[in-house]
Amino acid sequence: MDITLKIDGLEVAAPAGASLLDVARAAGREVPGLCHHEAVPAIASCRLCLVEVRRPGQSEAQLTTSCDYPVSAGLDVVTDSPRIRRHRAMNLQLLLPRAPEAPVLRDLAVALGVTTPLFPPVTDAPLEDCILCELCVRICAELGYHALSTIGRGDHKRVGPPFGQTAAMACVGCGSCQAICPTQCIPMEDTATTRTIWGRTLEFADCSRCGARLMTIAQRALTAARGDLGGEYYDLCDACKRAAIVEDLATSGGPGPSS
Amino acid sequence: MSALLADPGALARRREALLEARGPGRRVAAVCVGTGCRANGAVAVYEALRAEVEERGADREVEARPRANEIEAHVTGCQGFCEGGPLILLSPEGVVYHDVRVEDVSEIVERTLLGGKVVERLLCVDPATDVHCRGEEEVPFYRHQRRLLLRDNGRLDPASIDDYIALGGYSALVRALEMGPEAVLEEVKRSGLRGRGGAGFPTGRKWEACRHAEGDLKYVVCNADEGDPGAFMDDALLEGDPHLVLEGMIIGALAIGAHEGHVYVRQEYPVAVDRITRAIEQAREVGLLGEAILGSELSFDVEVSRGGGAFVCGEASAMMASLEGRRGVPRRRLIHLSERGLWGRPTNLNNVETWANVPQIVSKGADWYASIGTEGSTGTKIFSLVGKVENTGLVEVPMGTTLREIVFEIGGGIPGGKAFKAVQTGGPSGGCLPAEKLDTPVDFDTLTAEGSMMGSGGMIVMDEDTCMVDVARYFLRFLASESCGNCTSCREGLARLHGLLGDIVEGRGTRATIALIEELADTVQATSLCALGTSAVNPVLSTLHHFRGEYLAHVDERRCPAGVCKALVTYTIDLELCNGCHLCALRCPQEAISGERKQTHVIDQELCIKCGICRDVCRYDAVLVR
Amino acid sequence: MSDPSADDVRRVAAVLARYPQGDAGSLVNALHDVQGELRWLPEDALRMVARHLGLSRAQVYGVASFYHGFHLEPRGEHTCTVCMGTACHVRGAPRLLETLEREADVAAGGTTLDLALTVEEVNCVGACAIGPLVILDDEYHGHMTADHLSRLVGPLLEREEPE
Repeated sequence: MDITLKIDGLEVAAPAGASLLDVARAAGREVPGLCHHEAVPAIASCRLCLVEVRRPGQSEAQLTTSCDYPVSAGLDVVTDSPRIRRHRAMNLQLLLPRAPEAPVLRDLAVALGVTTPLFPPVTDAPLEDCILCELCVRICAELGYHALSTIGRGDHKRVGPPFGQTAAMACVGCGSCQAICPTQCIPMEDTATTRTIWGRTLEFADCSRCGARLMTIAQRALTAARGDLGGEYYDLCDACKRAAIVEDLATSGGPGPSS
Repeated sequence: MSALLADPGALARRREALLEARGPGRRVAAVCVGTGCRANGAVAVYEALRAEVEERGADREVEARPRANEIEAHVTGCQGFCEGGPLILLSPEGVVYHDVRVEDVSEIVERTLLGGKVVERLLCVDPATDVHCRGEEEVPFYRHQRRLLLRDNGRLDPASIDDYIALGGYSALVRALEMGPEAVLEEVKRSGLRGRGGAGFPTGRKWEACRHAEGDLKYVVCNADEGDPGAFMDDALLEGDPHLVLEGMIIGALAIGAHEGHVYVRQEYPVAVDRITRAIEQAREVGLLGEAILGSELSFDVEVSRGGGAFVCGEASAMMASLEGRRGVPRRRLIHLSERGLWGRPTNLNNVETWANVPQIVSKGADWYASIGTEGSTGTKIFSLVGKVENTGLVEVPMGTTLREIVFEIGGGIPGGKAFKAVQTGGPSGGCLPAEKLDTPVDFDTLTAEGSMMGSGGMIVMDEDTCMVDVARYFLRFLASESCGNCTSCREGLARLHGLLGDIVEGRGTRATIALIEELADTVQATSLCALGTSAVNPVLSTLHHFRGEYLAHVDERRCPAGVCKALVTYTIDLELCNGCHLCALRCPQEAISGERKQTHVIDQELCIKCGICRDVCRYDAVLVR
Repeated sequence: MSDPSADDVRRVAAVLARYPQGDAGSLVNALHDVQGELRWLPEDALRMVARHLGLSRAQVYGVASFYHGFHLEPRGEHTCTVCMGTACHVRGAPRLLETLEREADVAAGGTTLDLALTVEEVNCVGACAIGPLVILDDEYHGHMTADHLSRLVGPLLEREEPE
């Protein structure tokens, strides 16, 4: 059910319960939020997506994270103010030591007028440039692979394969973690035939018709095992799948390559 | 052995039978084995006492129920007067023996248990009058307290449900069943009881919200995580009177409409885990837990879970995450836990001490309860009074008692003739109150108004030898290590604050350091998700507020007025007092002390690591720390 | 304990049998019980727990590594714990921990290489009246001094010196 709320003076309609961060961005407001992605549940880790919200009946606005704030009717939201900038800048200062050169942090520093780091860089983190947003862990769990763990707590918290292994044994090399990482800190090396990530080297599977690179053999096997489309479907690249469907329709009038 | 209590009548009959069997001639020696006394050798005292009682007791049968004229010995939970331990409370006279050693046991059995006479030297002496105090009404430590919750800690064997029943236990539950859920709820609301875990939220309102929440499956949870360092009130209640807490939970389940309960005990309390587990088993055996309790429509059972070792799990949503088998990461609560808590269902979570208050509210009524304490904070509160104070231990007083009364009249003041400096209340989420604030009446709202908070009841006394900057740093170290790590502001912020305070105590701090601490603390407080983060800045902000001069001495003069901060103090040997015994030189791990025997000794400042061993071993107080 | 013995496996299985299969909420309790048997939590034991409770190994490891009560490395023959509660702190506990760490040459939480001693710190066990407190195995030692502590653990750390 759609509700309406005000964002920076603009009346906006949105589904009740949607993430305020998503709604604000859809309305064209620029709100940073490094640990947020619509594909995974919000954990409000980075503390950058701050906004000020006044609920109906309240006289004062509360400073709050927006990624994990479900919208409801009548909210009055401000996405930029001196208070927001001040606290956002300080949280950015707190993240900089972990990834001093990361473009996404540098851009934010410029936008907030943060020129001098307040704290020295972290030098002994197990994964350089990791800002502990846990997006990699969350997406890996969401996709059902569970190859990565959030380990420890506090400022010794880290992400990586469980049991302190140097290789993530359950990893299938889908590369989603590397793609979703805001600071691009997950090393991943692709050759023509292999992908090396999280300490493992996995071989690619190729399209059985045209030889184009599909995905890793491990990922294909797991996807095929979970799916029920059977047979050739998982051996073809998208272009060849489409060609196969057209051929099938032309010859038998029946369904696609799986039958 | 245990007959099922099918209805209130059966409970009453059991109580009568117990009282009859425990005739007037029965004498009991109750030996405190709470953690403090246990650490002080109380278990050996108890074992010697029990052996002697068994040998000398008249008409004794192993495992027989006590009969008239019998003597008995059992252990108890913490009796509160930890400084005086090992403690024995003798019934029926109510005489307290303190500082009891194994060598005293024979005399106690002979003279007191069998002979009915007192052993004078084991009585506490009132330091003001030099009078030997016989009982709790005379011992200064106990005299000024109002021990409503802790009273039975010395009077029952926590492993015995019969002791609890004989003292009137579970009669509040009977009354509650007669009243019905709505009436019980009203009574708790009218009593003004507020949560004893720290936040002080009105308990009746919390129960009501849960009762009215949608859903048939509801939970009650007992928070026994007690993570504040220096606080052990909940431990004492669970170890000493587990059925009291359990009875409170059963009454709460009735009022709320819950059928399942959980007691979450921190893993550092194995004795408490054991005692509450056994109490639950005993209650099940007699039908006080399970289906149709005492023949009523109430069905309720409780499970015990251990914490994994994380202070953050004292936070309600983190505790529930732990109970669900997850990492103890709190979640924001735009929807209250009373509507969506454990497993997404309505859940009422209360602290151990809060549950322990419930039976007396039901038996004696809201009006009686509200007549104790202050208008905004009714009832009594248990404090753990520790640190630089003569009488450390557990203190239970009506709300509104002043800090001065607690620290000086009950606590006996500061040892060694030192000057009082501050008292820290509310644990790592609280603040320090200086001498000017000693006449503050202790209740939820006054403490909050003074920049501290009640918290769970930890009360740490500090003297002139305590460095307040060091105290602030200590709390930040603790909280930084306990942060779950979710929020940038807390995870990184507390570590940076700890580092900045480290700069100050190590002589690298400047005025700019203090300014940065204040700015950073503001963001940690304003943008952290849970109360661990938002309240973590209280110790540093309150010490900066009340003891700014001390911070300035560190940064402007590189001096630690209290003589604590190693980088800013020097260990030297007083030439007048040194007797040349050479002991310090022998024990110094850095071989930094030189001198001939019978000549004054000197510490080489280049080698000295300020470990303090020389000061420990010197018998002439010749080692100076400035 | 790098390769679990058949006996270890049996003991862990017996512990897990007390918990319903797939009961995720039992994880923390189950970890305590398994640790109670083996004194620490080796990887294979954690895998068995994950399998029995229907959880991913990543989640079980995440939980085991989050809580300080769970030991993911073998423990020493003796454990010496310094209470770092506030009351003990104001009575000088940090100096005791420093002394212990220096003598054993391990940081709190660690174990000496020869597995003789594990050094731990704990935040308040409720014996504040006799602080500062040190617990050596199951014995409580109150009113501790750096000197006394050094003499208490010294014999445990002594190694055979070659002639």
